[in-house]
Amino acid sequence: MTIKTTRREFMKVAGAAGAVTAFAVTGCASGPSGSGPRVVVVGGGFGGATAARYVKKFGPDFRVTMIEPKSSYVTCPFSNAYLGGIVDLATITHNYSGISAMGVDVRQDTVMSLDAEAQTVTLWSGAVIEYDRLIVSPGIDFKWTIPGYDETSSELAPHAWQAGGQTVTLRKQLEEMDDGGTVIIAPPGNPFRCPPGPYERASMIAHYLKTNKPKSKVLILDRKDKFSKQGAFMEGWKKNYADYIEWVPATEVGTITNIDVNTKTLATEMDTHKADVLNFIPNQKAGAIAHKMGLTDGDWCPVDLLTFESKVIPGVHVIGDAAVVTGMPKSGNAANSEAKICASAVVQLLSGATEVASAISSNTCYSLVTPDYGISVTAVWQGTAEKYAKTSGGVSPADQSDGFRANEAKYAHGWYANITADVFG
Amino acid sequence: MNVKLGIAAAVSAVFISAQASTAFAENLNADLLVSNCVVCHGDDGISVGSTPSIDGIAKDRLVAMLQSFKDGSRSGTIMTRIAPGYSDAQLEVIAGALAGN
Ligand SMILES: Cc1cc2nc3c(=O)[nH]c(=O)nc-3n(C[C@H](O)[C@H](O)[C@H](O)COP(=O)(O)OP(=O)(O)OC[C@H]3O[C@@H](n4cnc5c(N)ncnc54)[C@H](O)[C@@H]3O)c2cc1C
Ligand code: HEC
Repeated sequence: MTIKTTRREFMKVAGAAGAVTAFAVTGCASGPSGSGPRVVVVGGGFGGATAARYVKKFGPDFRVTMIEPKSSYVTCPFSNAYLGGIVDLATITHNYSGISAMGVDVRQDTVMSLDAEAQTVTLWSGAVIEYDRLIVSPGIDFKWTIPGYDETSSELAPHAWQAGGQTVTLRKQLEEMDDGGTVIIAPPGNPFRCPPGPYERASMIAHYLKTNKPKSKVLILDRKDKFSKQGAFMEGWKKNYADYIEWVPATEVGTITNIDVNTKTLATEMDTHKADVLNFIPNQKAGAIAHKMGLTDGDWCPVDLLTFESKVIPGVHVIGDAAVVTGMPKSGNAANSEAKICASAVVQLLSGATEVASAISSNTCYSLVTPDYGISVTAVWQGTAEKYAKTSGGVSPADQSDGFRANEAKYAHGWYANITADVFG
Repeated sequence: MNVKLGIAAAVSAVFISAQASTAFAENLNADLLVSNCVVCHGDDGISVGSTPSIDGIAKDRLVAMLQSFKDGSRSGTIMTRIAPGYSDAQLEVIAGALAGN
């Protein structure tokens, strides 16, 4: 594919004057290291943090600024293991010192708006930051469409689909629940972040119940009739949680009409389900700032698949859950892979290239069924302008030995250790 | 973070752009290819977790290992699902980059 570098962009890159203005405007004392083009990254999650690191890796002289409101980031990956009592909160919490150490200016702030003409973003603090190219990775936001369930009431029946406070609340509710209770998980409809996530969560909660409250159970009331790694999960559940997990497909659940977070009741057209702990997971859309910036078409952000440049606003790239990446799932590993392709493209484009070199991606989602029973789905894709074309992959094979499952559980921890080092430094 | 890799990458990014069409068609960007492996095997192939490290292995041996996962003659929990996704040319580039570290 061919991308024209605009004359204006080239001058911005070449001209040192622009850089001086940026510092004057923001009044930033330290600023990013380097004297090359300015790349600004919105969001310090799996996509954003990886992008910041890899722009610096591929273009050591580039000036990179990353804006993220939180001082530390709790990962969704392994947050289900936290719910199951296998890892503690500290293990899944990461700070940004490794990214700062690379010379990236990490700003604890929130991006409020975009001026694509002026090529600036304005922050909550009032600072205005200039960019030569902008990379946006804001993750997801929720569609509050079910009566009784909104941002405020969700605190009582936590979705815990953005790891942090609600994950801790959900764990506490599980701990406080009496033995003999019912935990209801209501997974979202497609598309949503981490397709196997709700079913891994059911497994990890069942592990906690089986170990601590053996008269209790998990009821999954789905908004889909099939789900990711279904065969592998079902095999694992049959072996480990026969009396603990019941899955009800969407056609049998019917449409959810109302949620009462106080009584923890979920009403459908045909039934009422009472829970002791209710984990309702809303349907999803791109993070709010993507909508505010005008990067969306419907719920998500359309992008050029080889550069991740927005199809709506030139000079702005969108990666991770917020972007429509045909062929790939919404996952942390996918966001990490997209970030690297995007970082490579951004560095090349700002170095005067008119075509980008390469786009090849991969993703693996491990799920723990028990602490010693892991399953995975993996894929490798070759990028084309139309889609990411899968060239290999698949789900863990059926009917494997205990040793095979134990190895996958072990490697799941290995994946977590290495990918978080790759994302956060 | 490996500074050496960073500088090499910046140089190769500029270099690759000169021959972009060929490189793109075959997806032979070494940095991007290897970046798919580091999420499990660690930066430069040095794992910080329970997955094996793959640094310090001679190129020919690495190619042979990857080919054996690709054709199924060697078993594994996941490499048999990953290796077939890469062309022979890509596996050569990956092995060369990892061995060069
Ligand atoms: C329970 C659960 C388990 C999961 N397990 C796995 C797993 O095992 N493997 C896997 O690969 N994936 C997993 N995922 C999915 C993974 O967490 C997401 O796909 C991934 O986080 C997406 O990365 P992202 O960069 O798009 O968004 P995020 O990681 O959510 O990052 C977005 C960041 O942007 C920031 N932000 C938002 N708005 C602004 C703004 N206006 N200004 C500045 N910053 C802003 C946010 O604070 C946030 O830190 C799981 C998800 C869940 C819910
Ligand atoms: C999702 C995690 C994951 C990814 C991604 C991954 N590997 Fe592996 N790799 C493993 C695991 C786990 C093993 C152990 C064998 C098995 O169970 O498949 C392994 C084994 C290997 C081995 C054999 C090591 C030895 O000493 O026996 C080599 C070589 C290897 N991988 C290379 C690669 C390369 C090159 C890539 C990138 C193209 C890659 N791997 C991507 C998880 C991964």
